[in-house]
Amino acid sequence: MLGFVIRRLAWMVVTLWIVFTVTFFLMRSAPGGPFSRERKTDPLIEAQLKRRYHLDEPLIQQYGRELKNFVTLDLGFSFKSVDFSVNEIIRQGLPVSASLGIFALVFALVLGLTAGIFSAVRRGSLLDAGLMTLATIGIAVPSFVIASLAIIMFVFIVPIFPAAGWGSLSQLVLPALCLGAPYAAYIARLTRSGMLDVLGQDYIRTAYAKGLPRGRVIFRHALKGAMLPVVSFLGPAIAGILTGSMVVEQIFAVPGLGQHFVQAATQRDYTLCMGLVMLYTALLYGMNMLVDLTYQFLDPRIKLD
Amino acid sequence: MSARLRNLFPYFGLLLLLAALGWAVSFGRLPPADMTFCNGDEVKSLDPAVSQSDSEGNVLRALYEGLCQYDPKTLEATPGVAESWDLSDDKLTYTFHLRKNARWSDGSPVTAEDFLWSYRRFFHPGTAAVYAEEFWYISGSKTFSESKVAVGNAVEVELQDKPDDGLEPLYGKLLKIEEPKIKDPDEAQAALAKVFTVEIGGKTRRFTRGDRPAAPDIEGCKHVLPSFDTVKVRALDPQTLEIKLDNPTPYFPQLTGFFAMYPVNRRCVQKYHLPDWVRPENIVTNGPYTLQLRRMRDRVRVVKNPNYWNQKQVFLNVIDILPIKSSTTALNMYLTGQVDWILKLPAPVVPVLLAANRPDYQPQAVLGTYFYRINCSPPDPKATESDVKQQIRRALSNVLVRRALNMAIDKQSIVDGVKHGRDQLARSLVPPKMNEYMHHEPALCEEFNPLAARKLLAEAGYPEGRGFPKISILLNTDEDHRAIAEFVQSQWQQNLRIKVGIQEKEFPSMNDSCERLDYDVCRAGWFGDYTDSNTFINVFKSDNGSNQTGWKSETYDELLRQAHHEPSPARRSQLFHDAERVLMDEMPIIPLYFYASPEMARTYLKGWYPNAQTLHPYIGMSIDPAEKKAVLAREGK
Repeated sequence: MLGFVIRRLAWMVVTLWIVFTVTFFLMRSAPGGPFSRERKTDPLIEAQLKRRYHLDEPLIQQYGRELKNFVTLDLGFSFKSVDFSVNEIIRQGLPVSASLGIFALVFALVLGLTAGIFSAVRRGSLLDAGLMTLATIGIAVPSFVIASLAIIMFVFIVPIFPAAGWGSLSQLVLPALCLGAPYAAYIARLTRSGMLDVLGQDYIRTAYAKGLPRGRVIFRHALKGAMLPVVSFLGPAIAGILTGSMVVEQIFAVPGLGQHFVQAATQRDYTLCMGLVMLYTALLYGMNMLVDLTYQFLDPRIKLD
Repeated sequence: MSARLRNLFPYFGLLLLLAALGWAVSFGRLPPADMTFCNGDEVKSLDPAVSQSDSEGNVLRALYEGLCQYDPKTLEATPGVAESWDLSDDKLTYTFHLRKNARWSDGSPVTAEDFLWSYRRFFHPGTAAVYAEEFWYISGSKTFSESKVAVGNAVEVELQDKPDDGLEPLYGKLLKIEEPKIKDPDEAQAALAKVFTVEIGGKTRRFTRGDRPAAPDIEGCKHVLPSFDTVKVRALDPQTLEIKLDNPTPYFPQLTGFFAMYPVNRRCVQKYHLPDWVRPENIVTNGPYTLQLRRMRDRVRVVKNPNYWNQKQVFLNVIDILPIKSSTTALNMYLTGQVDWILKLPAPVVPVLLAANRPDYQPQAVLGTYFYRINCSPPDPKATESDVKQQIRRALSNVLVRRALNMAIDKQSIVDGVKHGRDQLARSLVPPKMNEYMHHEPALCEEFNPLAARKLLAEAGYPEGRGFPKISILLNTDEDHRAIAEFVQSQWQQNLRIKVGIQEKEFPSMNDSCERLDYDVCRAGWFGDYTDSNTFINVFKSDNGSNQTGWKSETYDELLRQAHHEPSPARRSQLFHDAERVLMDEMPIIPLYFYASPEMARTYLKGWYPNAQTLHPYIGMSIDPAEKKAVLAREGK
């Protein structure tokens, strides 16, 4: 297992370097720059700004400088929010996005697993059809529509939750539900198909034949095997959910990383954009590695190496 | 892998999930603020010199105070740190008398020296303040900002090892400038290669800018600048500041209240430097409020400054400023009573709100114009006939075509259809609202007249649009901009029978195309920085970086030059009118509509008044608790 981890970590370095390089050159080749604004900046002032941020140097020299900064984990200051370093922005935003994400994930897991198991056990029933229709809708409807409906329902018609903002549990509920809904739907569908697959296998029949009660067979024997596709989905899903969702965060004014992600790119905030892309890459890679490690706990047939 | 470990795994996962959940719902609670409002965007910086947009202005106005401030209704300059000011007879020298009881939040007095140092920092090329050019009215400031030095003059040299914003230079006399032997075609690079010989304290030293000197006897330095003494700002005594201008500038006192010109505390800046000095635990300010908390994308919380000289007029103890970008979210928070004032509204709800005739939504005209730029750059004479781009240049550089384009747009329909009758159609660059501040008779462009437009187009050589190349309208992605562009597109296609496309880009890309004059027609908006026609007319001067139309007129430039030297307000207004006449005759721009304020503020927020620049001082603002309760109860909150 140790060999596996070491090999994966080595590949991670290579992946990070490639992503860094592609991001760097893509960002610099996009038209406009961090100092674009409606009012033209005086050329002299712009030259001074460029010099201050080393944007007047040849591209390859800038690349070297940025790469060195990245290796030392010091990404410098944001171009657009000059009072904050990229590290600080991540330090402030990541916990918020993560809190929201964990809440959404728990909600998605509870709802998704329950719905999936019920559907699989009562396969072909009205309940199954109803739950799976709901799940399909949950996947198909974009989160801003779900969010708008949720706001109309729970903020204006039945005012039980605040419209937006951050700082209390009640402000967490609506965004977490909207963020978690599509994940819940995916998990429900994956659990259902995983369960159906496992329930048809011989060892389940053997368990029943031995006289084990139904609940014990489903939760003890079947569920573990059925979880494999769900776990593979959870890896990238956690990385995505932890770094925040632009749409949900904007609608509910949640101060997470999601909004930065999009704005840093559109506003050409080179340093912040780089920081966020690298964070996401590292998280995604780390999560996938974790998922692969988890497999062997869930399925004794899987051996790493 | 042992079976026991495998069996424990689900419990371990569950435990992890529960721990994460427990962490996720643990919050630090903040007590509610007295007043909360939605600022349009995250603030870039709390350093006035670095700031560059109105959302920063809304925060800085709470924290700092300039020489003057604004009347909340009329925007006239009212006393700020300066108790009073005198203007010399030639209208060029202002003497500001600072009040004795003005204090920084650390208790120390605000003096003329503080302003002198802050202005020096503001104009310093190392600060790279984007607003510096707006204040080059002050004699010598432009030369200082551009670091233009001449042999024989006093200079200041900023050494490499000093911090960027320390401003502790060596003073000396410039003896010689050596140009590099091989001249770099890039001007900025060429400037870096110059060698300056300076006499400092009786010794002769040689400097180049940058950290890579070419020879061992040359020292690297950050800047070689004209000595700041050449900038005509003087602290005559701790309470008197004298400022000399190049030209009569009637709106100068107002400008000293502009957020970029707020004073900063020298001791604080030199001790902590940017960005640490603007942190809540370090920052020292002189305004009605001090900074308590700043969380990105969440809020800026300011609390009453106990050292502020006019604190009797500060009624709100705590203000929360929320950087809400989505106007729908802001409106939701407003309607549910979470915030008391919002800066913008989503376009689709405007007709609903107007129909409801709410007392808290009465849109007022502001100093802002929405217009289309036309790329007037001439065609390349060497180009071939079949080159489409050159065909477009040929068409659009023809004034008859530009006039036809203007006359073919039914602007009233844009105002009624897209803007829901909230805004006002535009036939000039300067909004009519300007008339409340100075006499400005607008020079109008031609009215909507499709027949006459077709005739003009025929006269230009494109009868019934035949032979006219396909042009495109460039805009930054936005629902409203798109709706307007689609309408203009259909009008041009119908009324002129020409083909028109629409091209959408994100804001920086659009801006970049505009600067490089790589567009046909492009949407634009301009808001006045002060209540004087110059803030609009000056944009289309040949050498103004914001012109971006390729249009140049010597007559226009000359009229503006005369206006800048003109002490008589009446003649000055006439010159601006004449200049606008030139602009409206040649039409490098098509004015479409004048903006109305998109703000909404609760009626229980007292001391808040709609005004032409949507600029609201916090002094005198208060909340009527009884009315607040009544209003929210009526809405069922």
